[in-house]
Amino acid sequence: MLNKIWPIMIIISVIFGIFSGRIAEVNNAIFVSFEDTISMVISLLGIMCFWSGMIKVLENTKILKKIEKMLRPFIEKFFGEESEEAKKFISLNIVSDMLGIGNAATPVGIEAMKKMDESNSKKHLSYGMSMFILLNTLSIQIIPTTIISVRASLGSVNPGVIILPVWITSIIVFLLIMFIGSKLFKKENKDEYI
Amino acid sequence: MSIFESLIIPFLIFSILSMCLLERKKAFDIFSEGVNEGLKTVINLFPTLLALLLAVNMFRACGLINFLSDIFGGVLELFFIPKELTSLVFLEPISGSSSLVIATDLMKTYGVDSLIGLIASTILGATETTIYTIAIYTGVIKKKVPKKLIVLAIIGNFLGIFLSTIICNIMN
Repeated sequence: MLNKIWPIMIIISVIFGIFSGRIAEVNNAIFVSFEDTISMVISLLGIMCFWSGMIKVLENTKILKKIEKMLRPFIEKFFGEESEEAKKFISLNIVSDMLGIGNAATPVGIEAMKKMDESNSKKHLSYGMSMFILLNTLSIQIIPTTIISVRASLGSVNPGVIILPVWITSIIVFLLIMFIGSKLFKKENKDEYI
Repeated sequence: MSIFESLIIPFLIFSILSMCLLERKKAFDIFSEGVNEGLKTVINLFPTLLALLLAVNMFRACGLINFLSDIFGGVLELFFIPKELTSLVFLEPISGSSSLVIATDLMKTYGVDSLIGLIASTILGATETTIYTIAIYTGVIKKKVPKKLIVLAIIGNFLGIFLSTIICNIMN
């Protein structure tokens, strides 16, 4: 996606800069951006590495297995028809997403999609697959570490102040969208059987 | 409220490390391993950051962004969303790293603890890169994606942005 957006943004900036007489500012912006990048990387480095270390410790404790057990009823409710193997990948994807291990969540999620597709003979996505994609478009991360890191690096008085609004927003959106989704996709599947 | 918020992260660290100690795991070794992985993540992020900061800075300097937020900002303001957030609202569903760059830029410009800074942070924390996610997960299988799914996901994304704005306004 960035392969198109990135060059187009730059090309438009040059063209619009020339026509609006702001090409000098555009030229300046190029050199400022390099400094911005370096200062952003340096200020992010410490706190990002710290969280990455903490999450690694968390991954190695039994907390992970406990969360998986707690998720079991949820997974049975939405993905009960899927194979045991698919369920394993689904729960791993959800746990990684909750803990903010994005690097782990995506490959595991793709694996879960493939497993669910194996038992799906229809030409379109099955109920489980649709619900799984929908789930992944919703934010379920418990601690938004990256954004807290960025806020801290910019000198916020209280970088963690956003946790509460993030939780409230995520929970409301999650419940509402998953509820609508479960009604919407279930209905479609029934129609096909008729 | 403030004590509660200040407690969340120290408490999290406390719990993780206590669990680790109770289970007799090598806390320091595991932590170091994770830090190394984090280092790799930041290094992998570097090209994206460099490329996107270049594009965002140039885009802002050419003046088009003011032009665009004047057009679309009016629509967003109907939903109480500040028009300064226009670029974030449009890029957020597509690319996580570009929305991070734009949110950082907003926090620098308007202040990290300002209302706009808070809303931008909350949006980033409470929404996902919806369109990107759908593209990735449907890319591996050759099946038709129901339009309902795409529409519902985008509604969810916008609802997240809307609620972030409302809740930050209430809390501020």
